Amino acid sequence: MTGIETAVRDALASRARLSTDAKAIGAEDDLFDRGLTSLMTVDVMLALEARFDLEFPEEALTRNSFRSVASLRDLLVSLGAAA
Amino acid sequence: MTSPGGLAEAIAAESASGTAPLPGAIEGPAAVAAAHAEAVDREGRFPAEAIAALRQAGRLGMLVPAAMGGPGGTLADAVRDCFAVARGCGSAGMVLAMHHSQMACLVAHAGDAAWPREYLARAVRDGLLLASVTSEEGVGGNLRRSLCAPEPAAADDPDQRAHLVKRATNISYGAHASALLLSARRAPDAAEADQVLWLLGPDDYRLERTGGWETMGMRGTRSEAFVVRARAGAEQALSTGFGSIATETMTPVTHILWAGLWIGIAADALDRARAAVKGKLRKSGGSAAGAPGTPRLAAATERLLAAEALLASALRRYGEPGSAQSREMRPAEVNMLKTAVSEATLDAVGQCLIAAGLAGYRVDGAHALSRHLRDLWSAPLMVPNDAIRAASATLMLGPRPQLGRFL
Repeated sequence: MTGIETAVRDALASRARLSTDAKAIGAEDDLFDRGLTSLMTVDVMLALEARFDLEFPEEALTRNSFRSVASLRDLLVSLGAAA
Repeated sequence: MTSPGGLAEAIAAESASGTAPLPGAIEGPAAVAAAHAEAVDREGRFPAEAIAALRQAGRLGMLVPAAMGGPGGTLADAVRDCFAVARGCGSAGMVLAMHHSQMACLVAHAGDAAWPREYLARAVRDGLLLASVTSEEGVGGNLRRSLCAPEPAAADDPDQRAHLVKRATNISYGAHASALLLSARRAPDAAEADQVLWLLGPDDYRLERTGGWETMGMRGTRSEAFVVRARAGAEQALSTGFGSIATETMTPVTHILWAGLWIGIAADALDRARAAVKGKLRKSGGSAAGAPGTPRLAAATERLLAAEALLASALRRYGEPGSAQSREMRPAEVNMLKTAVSEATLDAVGQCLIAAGLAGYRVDGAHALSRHLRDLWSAPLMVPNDAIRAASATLMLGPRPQLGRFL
């Protein structure tokens, strides 16, 4: 597991109140099926922006970006996040 | 049937995509709804005549695409029907809106699964009415929590389908529906937010009524409390999780259809207030310029045109249930359609009452506005606007509001 993925799981665990442990969730599992809501995505975004000192661009603020641990990890990598 | 130009034009633009003509017409069922509206309200009974007329005219299955055996109506077509029916009877309009929102969930999320697709074909053929069972005792009104879960049948039970028991606080027209779409946890060991929707056909469930529906308005929706006891096979659970269905389809489609029916109720109130003002003026022999009540008619119309513009914009941004476009509609915009239109339409009817004066305040006569006001007071309360606005506020730090898209 990459450092970025660990950070994603940390953000989900602290900010998203999922129905399953964010540390144990499958990387491709649908987070919206695990209780993630649009409201929670805002706090997850804020946590990840602070953690990696970057800003999610407007075009990245879609449901698909937040759909799984993997999609968030890939987004952060594409934004140049460094673990 | 006439309708204010704004909505009619917006809908014409939305519908101009060349779909096959829909069976029947809405004018007949709308007239039936209007003819029975007073009795439905007074007796607090289901608008059976209006729903039968909609069934007869083939309007209940209108959102089912041709590929699934339906007429392939658009969401704008469904909105137009809700508007027209609610103009005659708010309760009937609400029943129709809730039915269509459930049908939209099936259409958008049935995928290739045989069971929901067969149900949709049958629903079109027989005009089946579909009700929603998302409410439940003990979840604090939170759509995204469920307590009930499927329990496996006993090993020696000849019927091996799972048992489902749900204590619902409200099932609108539950006693009058042919089928239910019921949210439940995925499995007995699943978390409360890990929900799926079960499609229960006419022979799959029994209802035990546990509470009534004695309300100020929307008295015909009969949104009573029931215990649902069902048997269902695994194939009756939709494969898409309820979290995605709620966000992508159920909530936006519901808000869009509600907006249409609320504007319909207010449009009839405006007709009544105009008639009352005109009648008084005719008696007094005065001029329309500066006539009492007319500024209030203008104020009401201003609010309704604003509400229609929001609805037309939402239809344009959302597209059709299940489309890629629909999945990316901003939740804040979905929320704001509901909060803004519910208050604009209620306020418009208040303006109509001031314009109509005593003729509107009377509960009898052709200009009575009591039912319209009582029905529309459900709009800001049904899912409280304060709660929705708190959610919208949080979302303000998410995606940037999409302004400047007015063409």
